[in-house]
Amino acid sequence: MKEISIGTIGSGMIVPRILEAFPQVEGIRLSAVYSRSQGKANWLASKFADCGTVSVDPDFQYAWPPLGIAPEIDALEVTEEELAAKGWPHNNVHGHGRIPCGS
Amino acid sequence: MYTDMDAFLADPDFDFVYIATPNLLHYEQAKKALLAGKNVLLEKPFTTRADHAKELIDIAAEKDLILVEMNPTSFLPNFEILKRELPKIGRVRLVMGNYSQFTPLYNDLKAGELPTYFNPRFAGGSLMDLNYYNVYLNVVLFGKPDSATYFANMFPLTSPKQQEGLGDLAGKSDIIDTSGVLYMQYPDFVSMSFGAKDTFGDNFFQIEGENGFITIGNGPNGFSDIHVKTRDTDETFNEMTHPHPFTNRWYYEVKTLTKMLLADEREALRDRLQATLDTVEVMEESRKDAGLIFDGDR
Repeated sequence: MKEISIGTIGSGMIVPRILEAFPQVEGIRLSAVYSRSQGKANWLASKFADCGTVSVDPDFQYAWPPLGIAPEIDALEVTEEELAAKGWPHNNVHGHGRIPCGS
Repeated sequence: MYTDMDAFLADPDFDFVYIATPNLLHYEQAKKALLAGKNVLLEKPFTTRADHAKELIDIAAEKDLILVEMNPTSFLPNFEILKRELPKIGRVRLVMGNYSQFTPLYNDLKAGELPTYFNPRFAGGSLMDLNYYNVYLNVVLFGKPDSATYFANMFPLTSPKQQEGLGDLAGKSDIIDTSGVLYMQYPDFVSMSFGAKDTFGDNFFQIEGENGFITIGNGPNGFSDIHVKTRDTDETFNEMTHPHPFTNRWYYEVKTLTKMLLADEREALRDRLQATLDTVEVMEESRKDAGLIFDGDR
């Protein structure tokens, strides 16, 4: 096997964490995403399926609100100040500056 | 991009499916993917029932497909250090682990809501989410315990919204664990595992032996370093130097797994499933003893 091609099922907070590792590891790539929600599938595909279009802004973090707090979204791109304003405990904020593909 | 599962699984462009959905959906979706001829990477907790775990393992073996539990622990470089250093502390007598991660969803629960994370209909709760890491680490290091007993802070799901959210479980399983302690008895030592979604705490995992102790930095899902202190030595090890320390365990999980897959280490990956199966058995037996019933339980 020369390359591992992956399709994902699910769109919760763990999925982007795993997908962010793909561009950093040689030999694995995302090929397809499935979600019951068109919006969530779109979001994942646009963020991770095409590395060339990923934007990099180290001033922003990805924060993953616990399920149910913001059910209309899976992730927010917010500054640290905005995170603090939301009052989320640190251990519920899973994020860092996005890693560019191929870095 | 798909919103139709059958069409998704029929796509020939990928060989592996990574599944990270609510706990109770794992078995059904993994089975469907395996039967469609896909290799499956299944997020923890693997399944809620041991017979389901066994069935998935059997299907994968029968179809010569790869099935992996996606649990970072045993893929981490620092886990290899832990295994290497463990003999130095001598005969193990006590193991203790804590994984506390307060979630604001607990406030919603107290307000009468029923978030998925706390819904037994989706196999939610503290044991299934956080304490799973403690149990898995015990099992992968020491094997399956002789017995396991779960003592939990059970939250009564009695509000109208909670009763509605329970669906068919209403009246049968009106509780969920928001935190708890799992006591595991091994032939030669005892182990205590703490997990909490309703408190704040300092996460740790410590193994105490007759000649010293080992502490895993940031607990069973952290592995930020391995501190080994014996009668004669005091050393700290860390081989996880990826520049994004908060998320690096996933990086190492993907890196190690990809290396194994590319090398077609099927046997090594298959061997890991014994620890997974043992963990699921411990989880199922202990939660049922504690009165935690999930949708689809036998």
